[in-house]
Amino acid sequence: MKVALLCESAAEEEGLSILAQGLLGAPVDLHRPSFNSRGGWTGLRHAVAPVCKALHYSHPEVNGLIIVGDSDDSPLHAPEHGRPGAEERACRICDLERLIAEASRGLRPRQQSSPLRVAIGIAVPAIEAWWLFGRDPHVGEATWQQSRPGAGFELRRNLKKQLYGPLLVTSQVIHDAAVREAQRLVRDGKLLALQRHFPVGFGALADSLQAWRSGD
Amino acid sequence: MIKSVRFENYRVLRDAVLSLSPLTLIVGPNGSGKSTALQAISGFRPLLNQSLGQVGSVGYVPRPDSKVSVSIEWTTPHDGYRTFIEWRDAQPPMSLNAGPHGRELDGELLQALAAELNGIRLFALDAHYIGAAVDLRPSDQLESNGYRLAGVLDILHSQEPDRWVALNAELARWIPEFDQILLETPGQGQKALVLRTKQGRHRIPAASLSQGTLLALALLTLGHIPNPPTVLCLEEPDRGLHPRLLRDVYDALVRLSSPDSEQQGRRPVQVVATTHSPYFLDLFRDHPEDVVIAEKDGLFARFQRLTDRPDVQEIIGSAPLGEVWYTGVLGGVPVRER
Repeated sequence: MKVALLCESAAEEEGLSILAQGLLGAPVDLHRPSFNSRGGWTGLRHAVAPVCKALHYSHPEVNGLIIVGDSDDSPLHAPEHGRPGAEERACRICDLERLIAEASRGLRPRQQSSPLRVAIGIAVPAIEAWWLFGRDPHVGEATWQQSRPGAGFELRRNLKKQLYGPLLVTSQVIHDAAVREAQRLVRDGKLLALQRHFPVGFGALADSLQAWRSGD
Repeated sequence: MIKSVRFENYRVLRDAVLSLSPLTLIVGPNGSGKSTALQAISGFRPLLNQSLGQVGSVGYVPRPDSKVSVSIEWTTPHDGYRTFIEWRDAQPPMSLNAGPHGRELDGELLQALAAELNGIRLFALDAHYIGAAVDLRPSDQLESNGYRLAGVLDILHSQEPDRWVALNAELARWIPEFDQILLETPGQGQKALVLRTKQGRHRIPAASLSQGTLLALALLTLGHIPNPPTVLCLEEPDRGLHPRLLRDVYDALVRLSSPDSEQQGRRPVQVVATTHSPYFLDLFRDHPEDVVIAEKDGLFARFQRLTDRPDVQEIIGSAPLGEVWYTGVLGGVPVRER
């Protein structure tokens, strides 16, 4: 399956593609050259529409787009966000869904290809929490929800320190850690447990990719 | 390592403190004292040759209790020590060292501080000079504008085979169309820079290389020289480079300043860089404590560490740091009178 990835840091891309392969149960042929966002959530969300449109019109060979961002301090997604009057504008899953819907509106039909599939994942509170799953018993969406308001920056920093060692690291170190931990999660059969501990942000990604797998 | 530099009545820096971390990025409008600060730090000793009239702030009038000074405060392993130069009216400038709590400085310590000072280097790279052929010397050093790169590379090639291999590998990662640095001999005792293309093994002389490629090669070389500076001051390392290459530049600076991050087992190089690029600033999003905002205040300028601003994390939120800076909410942007 030919897949494009859009995430907050290009250094995470290979690790995420390993997770995607694990969830799809099939090799992933990653679209190259990769799409880069300017970094951070805002950088990522600015890239969503142009990337969706470019894949739609210019890359019929790409079957699906996977978008993964960090939740940072935003609220966790809840099913009621979809109900009128209960929308949560700060919810990043809702935000991405809205951006994708807006980008897809009014597009001419895709030539010689089925519609582009899009899967969304939100790492709570940051991608390092996924990579530390199975090593740190405290990572998980529930732990994050119980954390003190305003402590987000320090908590995310601690995750980085735990994973990388020094605070200031090169993208090579980030890339290597992502690949190493993604391989461990897939090899040790941890994806289902990861989904149980991160039911919203990783669950959304897993559900979409499993739907791709079954051809839905 | 330098903890901070205090400027009093020094050119555009009338009363300014520049706090430094292992890797510091200074952003600010033109004329906000960024280059003045880097030149003072890297040319600390030569400042002694400057007169009060040359270094004093605009409108500075010497009074009995006033002075012009540049003072470096050291940190690990010289916590609490200061090295400073003072200019007072009708007196030649004086260079002094001071210890914490009036502690005396012994000869060994003075030598260590002198070595730190002598090891500070400033680079404002210029592609024209980087690509120039050079007369060979038994030992060679990259000049401030990047001149003599061919000589430095020749020494690296002949005396440091491991570093040479690592440099070529990194070049191929940064600029994948090239796979090898070659050195040609245009005349007796001379060397000139050539890059070999990966496809077809074509030899491209420096004069035909893009400015960005030459600037990237000089930056890369700084990360591989055997005797790196104690403090590396870099003017706009982003200049001439594609925004996507800036992550590699950032990584090279991290590798220099935090060698532990990749278990290199060598002494860290303190890095102080300036930029006008929002894209380069984006890369410091997770390390706002490493960013210093240079601000113009009338005729004078001052520095403020980004994290010394209240509520800065909330202001930045999830936005790219460069984008937030560009809006002006963090300061450090040109101010136009309406």
